[in-house]
Amino acid sequence: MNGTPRTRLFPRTLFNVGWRYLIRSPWQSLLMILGIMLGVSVVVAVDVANQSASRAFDLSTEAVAGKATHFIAGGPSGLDEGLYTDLQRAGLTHPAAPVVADYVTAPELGGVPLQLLGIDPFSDAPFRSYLGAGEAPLAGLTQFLTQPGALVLSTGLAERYGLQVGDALTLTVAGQPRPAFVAGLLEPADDLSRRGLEGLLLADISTAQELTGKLGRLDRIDLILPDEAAAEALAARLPDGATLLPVAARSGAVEQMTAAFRTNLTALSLLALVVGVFLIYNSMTFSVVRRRAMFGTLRCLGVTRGEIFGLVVSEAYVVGTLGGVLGIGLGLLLGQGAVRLVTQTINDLFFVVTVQDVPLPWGSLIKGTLLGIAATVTAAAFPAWEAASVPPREALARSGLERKAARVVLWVAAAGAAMILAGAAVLAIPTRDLVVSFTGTFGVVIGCALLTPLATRILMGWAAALGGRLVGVLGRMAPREVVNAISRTSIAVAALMVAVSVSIGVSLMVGSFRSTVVLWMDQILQGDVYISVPGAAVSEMTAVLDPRVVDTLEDWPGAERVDVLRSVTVDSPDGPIQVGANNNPIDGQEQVYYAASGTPAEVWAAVMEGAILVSEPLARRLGLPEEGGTLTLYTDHGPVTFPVAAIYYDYASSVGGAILWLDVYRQHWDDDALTAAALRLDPGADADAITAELQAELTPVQALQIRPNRALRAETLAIFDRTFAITGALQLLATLVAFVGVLSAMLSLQLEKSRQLGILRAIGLTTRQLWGLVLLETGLMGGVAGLLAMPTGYVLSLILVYVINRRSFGWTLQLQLVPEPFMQALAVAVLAALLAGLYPAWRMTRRNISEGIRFD
Amino acid sequence: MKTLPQFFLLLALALTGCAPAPQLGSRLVAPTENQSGFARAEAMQPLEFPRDFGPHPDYQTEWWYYTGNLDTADGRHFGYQFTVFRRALLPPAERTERASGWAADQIYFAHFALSDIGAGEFTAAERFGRGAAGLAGAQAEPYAVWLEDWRVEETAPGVVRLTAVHESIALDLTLTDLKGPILQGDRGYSRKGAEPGNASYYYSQTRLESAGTVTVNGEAFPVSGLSWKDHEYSTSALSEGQVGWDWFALQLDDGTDLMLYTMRRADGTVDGFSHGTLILADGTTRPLAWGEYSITPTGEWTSPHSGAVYPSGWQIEIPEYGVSLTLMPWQNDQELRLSFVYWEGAVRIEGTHAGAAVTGNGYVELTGYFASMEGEF
Amino acid sequence: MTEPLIRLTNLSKRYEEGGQLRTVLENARAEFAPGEFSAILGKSGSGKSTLLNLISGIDDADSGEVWLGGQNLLALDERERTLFRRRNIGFVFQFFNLLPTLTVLENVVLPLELSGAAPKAARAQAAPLLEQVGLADRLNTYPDRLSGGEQQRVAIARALAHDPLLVLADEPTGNLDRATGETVLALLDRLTRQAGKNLIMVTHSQSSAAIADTIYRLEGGALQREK
Repeated sequence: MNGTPRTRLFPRTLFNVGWRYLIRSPWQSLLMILGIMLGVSVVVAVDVANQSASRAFDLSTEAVAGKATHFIAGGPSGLDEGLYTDLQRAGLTHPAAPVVADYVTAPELGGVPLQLLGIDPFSDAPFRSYLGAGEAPLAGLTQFLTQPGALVLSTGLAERYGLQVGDALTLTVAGQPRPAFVAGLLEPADDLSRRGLEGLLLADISTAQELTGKLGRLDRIDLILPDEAAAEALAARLPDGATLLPVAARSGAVEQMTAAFRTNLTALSLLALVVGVFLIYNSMTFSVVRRRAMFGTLRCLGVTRGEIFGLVVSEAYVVGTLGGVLGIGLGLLLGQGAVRLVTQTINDLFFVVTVQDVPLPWGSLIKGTLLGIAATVTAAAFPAWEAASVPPREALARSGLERKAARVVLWVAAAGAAMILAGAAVLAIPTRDLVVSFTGTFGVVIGCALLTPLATRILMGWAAALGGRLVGVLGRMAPREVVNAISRTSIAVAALMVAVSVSIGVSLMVGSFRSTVVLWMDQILQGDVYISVPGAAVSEMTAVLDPRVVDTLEDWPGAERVDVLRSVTVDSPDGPIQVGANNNPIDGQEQVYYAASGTPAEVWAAVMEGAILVSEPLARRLGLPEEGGTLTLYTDHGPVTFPVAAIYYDYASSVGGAILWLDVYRQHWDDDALTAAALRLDPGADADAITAELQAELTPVQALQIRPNRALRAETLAIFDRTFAITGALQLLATLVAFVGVLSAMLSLQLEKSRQLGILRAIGLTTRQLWGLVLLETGLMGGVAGLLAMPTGYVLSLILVYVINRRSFGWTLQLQLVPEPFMQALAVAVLAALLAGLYPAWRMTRRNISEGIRFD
Repeated sequence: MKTLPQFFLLLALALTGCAPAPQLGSRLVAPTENQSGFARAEAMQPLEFPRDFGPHPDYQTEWWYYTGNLDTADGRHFGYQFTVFRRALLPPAERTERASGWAADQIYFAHFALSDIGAGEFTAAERFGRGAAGLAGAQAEPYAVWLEDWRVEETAPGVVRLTAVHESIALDLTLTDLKGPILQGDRGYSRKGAEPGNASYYYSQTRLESAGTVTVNGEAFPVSGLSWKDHEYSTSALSEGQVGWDWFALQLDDGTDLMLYTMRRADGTVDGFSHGTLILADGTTRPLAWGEYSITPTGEWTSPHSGAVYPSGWQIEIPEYGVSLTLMPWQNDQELRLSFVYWEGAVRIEGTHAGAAVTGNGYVELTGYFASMEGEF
Repeated sequence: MTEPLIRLTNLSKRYEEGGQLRTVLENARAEFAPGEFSAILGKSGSGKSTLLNLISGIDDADSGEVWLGGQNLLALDERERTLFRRRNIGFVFQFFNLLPTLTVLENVVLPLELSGAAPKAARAQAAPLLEQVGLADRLNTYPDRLSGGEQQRVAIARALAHDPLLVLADEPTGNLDRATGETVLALLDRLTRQAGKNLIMVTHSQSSAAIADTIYRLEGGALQREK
């Protein structure tokens, strides 16, 4: 035995030490698993939602763009259909296909926005192969080509809504009902095409023109060009107003728009996981502290440090794996809801995307599991190191980690201060990369968390003095208990503090945002009644008003003035840009400027002369200077460079937009259509009454949204609130994780102190007093977390408002400091902590005294 | 001449088979093929020009068929085929007024083939288009028939310009009609079967003096020669038992032109409605009934691509007019494998006519050798 | 006299406590012959535990040497000492220090596995030992179900299981009532002798020390042989 027999890498019995501990401390283990599970589930849910939306977008883009490399785009009203014929008759060497597309809804198809894609079957085959192989009897093609309203949909879509060939559909296109019918079903060639076709209604191009009212027009001509030389040669042949663009430019730009939104969600979801990491760290530290003697014994028996480190990490690994796997299950469930919220927001703010089903996102699942395990093992690394460094003599004598922790508190605080500075430095980097910004934010938040132990100790000192005066020894005792176990209490406090501060920060940001939007609307919504055409989705507001509507409005009794707006998406070298052209003579005074070349009146005079106004998000996105910038747009008569007269605040879109004077717009675009109108009433006129009258008068002409100012505002705010619904949900989940953390910490601490509490009971503490003691202790922790969360939350809100929002959306918000979020946060923290104390207190009082004082 | 019913098949196949045909999946509803409601060729009607150069949309099927033999100054020989087909999707009564200029009740498709005898190459291409939005169509005055940039256009009375480009091959020819329209059958009424209405209206322009350029791989060859045009429209069905046909358009150097066809039945016999026309140099015609002429294959060729076995080389005898001709393909491989597999190729002719030695060129069309059309339909 | 198995030469150890340097051991020296049962007597705080820590290699001396089976422990690094310990030293603690998450049998199996035995062989080896300490019927019981005396008997079995050179006992009866303590001590004595191992026991109790072959007294940092 004195020799050196080969030792096993990890004795099996040593494993038993670890996992049996988990089983024999079921509460701690369950809470740890719960913490990781919640954290992982939030990450997975958000990831699933992001991926689904993004994938659905890719697939529908692919389904719609097909194999096209380029496309010819026209102005807002599309291209003259003659262009395609001219090109084909003059000879095109490369495949080309005309397309008429629009978003439509149909009650028979669930009322969700779907893309109506009008194609020419004779030229389309090289582009959209998803049409699949198979026989197409002439009669089927005949119907598709010759019957008005003939639509072909995928079998999947038809099955979802129980539709069969021959069934009638009522499409709503630009507020007008259009009869159509199912002429045929497409059996997609593969799963990808199936999902790509989910949001698509296919029609012959003639049918699409008739349904969308785009007679004589094409939306684009798709092309497959082999190289740039071919593109240049073709571009040279195009008339003014027709622009050749690469496909990637448009889809890339659209994808780009939602990137910031999705990054924000991911960051929030990671925050839930970070809080979960705190929880794991807390629980693991506790379990290590509790087992110091045991680790000492093991060391005496000759277990190496490495083996002890491995033992603790393997426990964490088990917890992480279980939590990860369970988290994925929960994440998939939450994901279903999250997909809906994310899709809604994308439809509200960016573009129409139809997510009909959520495929099993293997990537998200693997990511979730790995993240869960990585988070747990990372969180356990320090406690494991701590366990490994337990000297063997701990087996022989009980000693205090806490004495050591007392020294460490200062170091931790120093590290926290350093981290805050580092985070601030990272935030100062002028970049639009959100990952960098969020890294800085995380640095600041975790830095603040690291200050928690010191702050807790100081606050508890004051609390002891105060408590002693108020309730005597017990009042002094509770805060001291918190300080005595500071290595564990401070982590629970920190976790709760982080969750609550995020709540404060996000609430302040959202509140500021909302109040900014309200102020902005007060300024810009000067009309009394607004008339527009309902689009398939909020982001698709380009449907055209019937000219008779405007005529009716102009002559309406009580109308002082009608302002009209043409809202269109035009292409530019920087991708598609939303342009609003209006004839409101005092619009210049009604905008709020971020930067302007003169007084509002001067700015508007310049706009009437042909200058353009650019919204703040667009200016940031394009990196326009505050003064002297220009914006180039592809007009119907070729590219035109507009001088930028001013940059205005605009919270309607994070994509950004631009404003032109209507006459200027019509000089450059051959487009007389109007998108919306605002009615200014004579003083004293009743907006609600006029709205009702207009509704009655105009409904036979066109289905319109006629809304008094107040209703439009309410609706805008409703969309705003909808946008932040998922934020609120994530916030709540992070707080829930923190609550689990505090519960777990409380439970651990109280269990550890059962002997001491037993003694207290033995010397005559009543049950009620015991309750009081435990709850006072947890309440103090919650109070500290709430107090510390206030400055942290404030700092976080500053970062969110002045850094993240500006960088990701280009919005400048006016920070609105209101007390409610702070009060709420304190209440939530204290309440969470008190709730977390209930069970331990109940358990303590139920235990019999002798059991408590029995030496373990 | 091409027998009408087969082209329903051709069209149906075209719309299902090869690229770039639209492939609209398998579940489109398919009522049975219906010819009722279309105008039918039920009796002789006088053809009028230029009116009847244009389309006849009330008939279900129509085509304009150009073939020709061309030579460069130094004797490099080319054969070409350029055909535009029209197909009505709906009978006149079922057509509705549509708001969109793209709405089509007619579809067009076209075949374009070039036999480059010097290089031993044969290239064929196919296109489809809607008879709307100006993309494809035909008109009488001025005469034009086109599918995108494949087109035949009248440039002066009796003169047309034919242009077509496909990848490496291109054709740009000026065709001048030397004889004027030649009415086939009974003054243009060409019966194909025993049933009334199983017939077409059919005229030809059998001698079109041709000059222009053939472009192969970027190299333009100035060429001259003779072309032949057939224009035929009808609403009809494939007669029972007919599997294919052999069709001959021959141009002799004494100014005589000859159109012949035999309709082959499944049992190997020839349908009695086969017939032909001898067009003399002055444009007068002599109808030829089945039995007044004989066509004897002298060899055969097996396509290495499709495996179909075609006759190759013929002996043609018309005793009554002293016609005895030996036909040899300019090259064997002139098989079109498009939506529909057939052989359509340039042939050279040697022989005698009315005792004098003649030479010439022509075009021969052989269908139903790859697959029986009757079985397909 | 046989060659001593264990030899302590000039061991010195000082601790810093509240800014003051406290000398615990000062040139302590001792020799223990193979198979000998030695007791080290001392009052609380006399440095008994420190001495034990040094002999088992879980603590470092400021100077001196600890020779154990021809190896100077203090010349080894931390990991080597740990591996040396797992093979050559068995522990019996005052507070038993059984691993609460392992059964009685597993507690004894662990040192065997640590020194390289296969799990099955380790079990086969551990079971008879537990029979010898009278716990054959409690193999699958967890320690918290055992009385103090029973726990210490498990600890004795664990200390001897992997056939160490030396068993170190730290107040093994300190947490037991007198009668139980005597039984346990007798068992410890019998089993170590039976196995031919050295036993060094640290205690403050004269009566416990009485059954030892040799007795040292630790006083003022030095070791004084009394018997």
